[in-house]
Amino acid sequence: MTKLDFERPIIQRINAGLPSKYGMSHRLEPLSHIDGTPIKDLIGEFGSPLFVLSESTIRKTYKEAHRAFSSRYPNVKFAWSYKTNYLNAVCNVFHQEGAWAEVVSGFEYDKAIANGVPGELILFNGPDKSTEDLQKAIRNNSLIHIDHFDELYEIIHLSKEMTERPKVAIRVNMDTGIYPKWDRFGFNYENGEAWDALNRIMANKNLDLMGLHTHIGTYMMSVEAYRIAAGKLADLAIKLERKHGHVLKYIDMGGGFASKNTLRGAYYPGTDTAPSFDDFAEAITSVLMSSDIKPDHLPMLILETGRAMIDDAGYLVGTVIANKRLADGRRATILDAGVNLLFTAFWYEHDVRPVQPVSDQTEDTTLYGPLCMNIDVIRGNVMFPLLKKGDQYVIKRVGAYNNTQWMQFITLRPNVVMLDSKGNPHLIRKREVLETINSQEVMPEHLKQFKL
Amino acid sequence: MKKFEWLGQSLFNSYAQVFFSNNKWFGIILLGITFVDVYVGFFGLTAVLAALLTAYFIGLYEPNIRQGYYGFNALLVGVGLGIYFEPGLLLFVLVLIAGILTVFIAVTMEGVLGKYGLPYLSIPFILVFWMVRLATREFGELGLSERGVYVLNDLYLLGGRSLVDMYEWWNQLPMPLSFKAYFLSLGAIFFQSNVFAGVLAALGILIYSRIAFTLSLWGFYLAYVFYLLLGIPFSEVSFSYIGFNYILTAIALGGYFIIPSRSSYLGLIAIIPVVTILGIALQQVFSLIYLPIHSFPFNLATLTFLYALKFRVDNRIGLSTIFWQQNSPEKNLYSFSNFHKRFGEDSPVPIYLPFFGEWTVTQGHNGAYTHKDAWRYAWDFEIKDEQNKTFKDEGDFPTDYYCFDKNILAPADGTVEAVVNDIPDNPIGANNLEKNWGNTIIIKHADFLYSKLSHLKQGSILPKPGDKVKKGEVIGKCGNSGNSPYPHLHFQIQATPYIGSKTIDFRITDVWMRVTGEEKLMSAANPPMDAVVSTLMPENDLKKAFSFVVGNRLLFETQEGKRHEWEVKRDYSLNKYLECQQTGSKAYFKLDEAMLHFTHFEGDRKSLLYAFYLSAFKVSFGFTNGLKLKDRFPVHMVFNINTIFLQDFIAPFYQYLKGEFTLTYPEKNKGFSTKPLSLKGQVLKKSWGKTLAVSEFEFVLDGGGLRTFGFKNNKNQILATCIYDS
Repeated sequence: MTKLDFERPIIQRINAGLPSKYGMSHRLEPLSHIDGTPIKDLIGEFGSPLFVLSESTIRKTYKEAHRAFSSRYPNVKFAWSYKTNYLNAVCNVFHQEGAWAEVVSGFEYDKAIANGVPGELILFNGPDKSTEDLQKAIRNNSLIHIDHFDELYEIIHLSKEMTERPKVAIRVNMDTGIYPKWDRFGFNYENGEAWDALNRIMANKNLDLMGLHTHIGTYMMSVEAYRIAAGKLADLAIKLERKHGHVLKYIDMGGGFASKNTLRGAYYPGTDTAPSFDDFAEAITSVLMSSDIKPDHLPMLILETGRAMIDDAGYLVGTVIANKRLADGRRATILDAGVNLLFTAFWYEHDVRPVQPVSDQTEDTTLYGPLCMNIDVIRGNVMFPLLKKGDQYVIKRVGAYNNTQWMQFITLRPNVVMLDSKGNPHLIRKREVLETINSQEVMPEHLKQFKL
Repeated sequence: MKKFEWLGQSLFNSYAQVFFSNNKWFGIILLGITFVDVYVGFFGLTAVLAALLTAYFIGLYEPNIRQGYYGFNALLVGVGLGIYFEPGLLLFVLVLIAGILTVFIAVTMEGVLGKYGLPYLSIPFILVFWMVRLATREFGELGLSERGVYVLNDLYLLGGRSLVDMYEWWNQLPMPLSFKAYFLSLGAIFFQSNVFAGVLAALGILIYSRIAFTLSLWGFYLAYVFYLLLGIPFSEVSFSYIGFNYILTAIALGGYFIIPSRSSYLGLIAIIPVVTILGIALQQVFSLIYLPIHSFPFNLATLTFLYALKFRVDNRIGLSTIFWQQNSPEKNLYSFSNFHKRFGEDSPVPIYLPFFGEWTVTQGHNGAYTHKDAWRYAWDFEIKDEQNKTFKDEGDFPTDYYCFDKNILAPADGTVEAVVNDIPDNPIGANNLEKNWGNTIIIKHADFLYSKLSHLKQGSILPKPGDKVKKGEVIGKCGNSGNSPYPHLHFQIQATPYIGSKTIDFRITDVWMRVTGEEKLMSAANPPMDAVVSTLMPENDLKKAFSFVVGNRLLFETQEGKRHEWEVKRDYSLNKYLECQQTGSKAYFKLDEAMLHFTHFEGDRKSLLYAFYLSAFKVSFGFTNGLKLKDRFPVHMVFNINTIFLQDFIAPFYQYLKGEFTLTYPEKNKGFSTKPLSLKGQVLKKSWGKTLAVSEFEFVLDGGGLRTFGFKNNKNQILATCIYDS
């Protein structure tokens, strides 16, 4: 008989009888392995905290998404949204699966090029494209998604100086019946700005109008909005063909598909409410297929979904620093990863699990990060098992945005490993050290010395 | 004189056609043979010219005249009359009339027999010759020739002592009796009963075709042995005058009208004795009215046999009749075996996969579950994930299955014949055996060609009976109705429009397939169990570069500044080809929405068009990165006569020469950019598996079509730029 782990004693009211509206008291199943590799060993080898990405989950999710669309529509491409996670190893997994690149800045653009993505397979989105960025994109035959008239004028201007013909699309925003309306990006559909922009492009002899782009919002829980958006883009495509005889090469429906994380304040967990890829695919493709676009002119359908592709593949694992009791009597557990690493904690009620086996007992707990800042809360209150200092935890579904929006704040950013298809870990981003941060700093001569 | 430019070719072909050939040199040799007896030669020539000019002036189809189709019967009539009667003006007039008459009889026979897809062989000759022979019995003025009897006298008069000596030398040549009989039989076709003519004719056949030559020996000796077996006294003369029947039958049925093969050679073992008996029997009948039977047994046997073969269900099994006569057993054989390999299983009406994306065959032809007996030629398709699962979660509900509710497309253009749309979808695991096929749509694509898609989702079928559907149009959704324990699509081709009709074996067109880890692209496929299949989206750039439209012109300029202009044309049988304006060479091709195949080349093999034919032998307009296409050339299209001469002899049994084609697509996708796309490939010539020569080629193309075409072999290197393509 092995010795049982010590758990601190608690006092809890017995909750017998029928479940209340809060449901049965539920037990958080421990998660000890990722892709068959013990989390304990990973922390032992690569330190704590640690980001773990599962290559097989990425590939599986990609294939699932691709299958959902390609089994409904004849011509489908995915473009990997760099801002969601631009760790090069992650990008390359997507590129190996056949995804193009979708970037929103000169920096991301260069990153995609450095990863070896051919210029013509890069979609360049975003409101901020410098003149140099545009020149580069035009030279590389990249697909430029125009965000505003000033950008259009600049491209027209550049097209006169450059030999290459800019390949452009416009980003269209529209009312899809959701709130808030995303009208800050692109040209509006309802007020005719989008149609106006398209006509200006068609009137210009130096520009190649390749497609239409929209991105109706983020974390969309309703497929209906996509149905409306696809219908409006199809209308524009039909009008273009009718008026200018121009056949579009693609329609880019952007991304924004919800992942299975639970939004803060949501009543039901995300695993139950988030539409599947099939739901999104059915909504989008059925509109395009039944639109008046001629069957042999059906444009390529491009999707830039980021979050739903990668969220499930990311795990943040770490160690409990301490437990304490708050003034109101609630428990608080301090973890070694906070909002500095887990930016998404501001939006989601993350699924935090123990790594080691625990008893059925849980306690209303606040999970804090290690920062010396009041905002550093991972979960405000969660029925959490009784972990003690040194126990390990794992936070699920952290693949999206955290590796791009994390902060080097107070602490340094940790190692990131990727588990290959056999579960073997590969270090894909080294932990930062003092030198990493200091190397970028320059000390003026007169500040070099001080006496204390 | 240019007006009569056709005459030369027609003339030589009229001689060569006696042995089914259109080989000019063979024709010239045979022309020479007829002149062994000058009068015979002269009257033969007279009859041919009379026939050809008649055919020309009454306006028959010129290519047929050029092929000598209207000349060879007249030739036989001419030489026949020339040998029987004393030369003179009367005979000359008679030959002229007979020659003209032969054309009309030939055209009539062509009309009558052509309806049954049969050749008229030498029937016009026999009819005219008999007619003239019967009629001339009343012509007192026409003297019977005695030249056949007193050969030596005639020879002496013509060429003096030396000619007689040579004649004697040939006839005295020490050789087995059967050899002599063989040569005499060959000569006798032209009414020349001497060894010399026979040897020349044999030589001519050898030059014309190695297969025809071996067949002539095979046919002759089969008859020879049969005569010995029957114990019929073997008289050289009587034998020689009907001996050619066996030779002609052997060539016709062993390799000319039937693709030469082991079975055609074996078939002759049965056919030749039939001809022998037929010959003896006919002789009995015709001797009553004092008429020679000539080649009548050959005609009768060949026509009967060919006609009977027409009634077979499948022409692909042994003794395949030719569908495109190239006037050479070798060419017919090489083209056929290659065509058979490349397109033998092609469907006359292309039927495509009825869905988007990658699906897996979960039950193929002769499947383990339900594809049995009358329904054995059917496929079940489902979608599988990378774990080989067909569903997500637990798979307890139809909606968990990847294929459920997916678009089902019309596999080809057609008219909706029947629709069942109201059968509820089963819960997982349950079967509705009462309504076996579930929701089903049957589409008619052509006469006796229907496709049936079953187990669809209740209420999902969009068209109504009588509606026209276009290929690729969404017609319904995959469901789980009928005898379907879990969602799948049942797809079958049938010849009748009923639900429950029996299936027919039919191939699906342009299928990309991954089976046992190997990717391939097939122009016609019967995907086996567990194959992952999909249809490749054609790339516009490739389509623009290789989709030749009749009337288009392509202009190339080589690095030396030489220009080559090709025009896309179409012949009477609607075969499309590229024709080189400079050399007149033609490269025939076959084109569908997703692929280009070159099928045949004729003309100058030094031309750029020939290199192009080799390089664009098979091009798919859709591709996956790094896709490799492979194909085989017809042997005679890549090897020259020196290399192929020996192969010809054994070609019906084994082909050791191989021409292999590979084409490799780029590793990287180029998106919508106008960047050029480069396709590279090789043409390998192999003998007994050893590579004799390698040619390499490269196409560079972009949105504007073909840009450059490079071709390199051990002799030279061409880089041609496409100047325009319109």
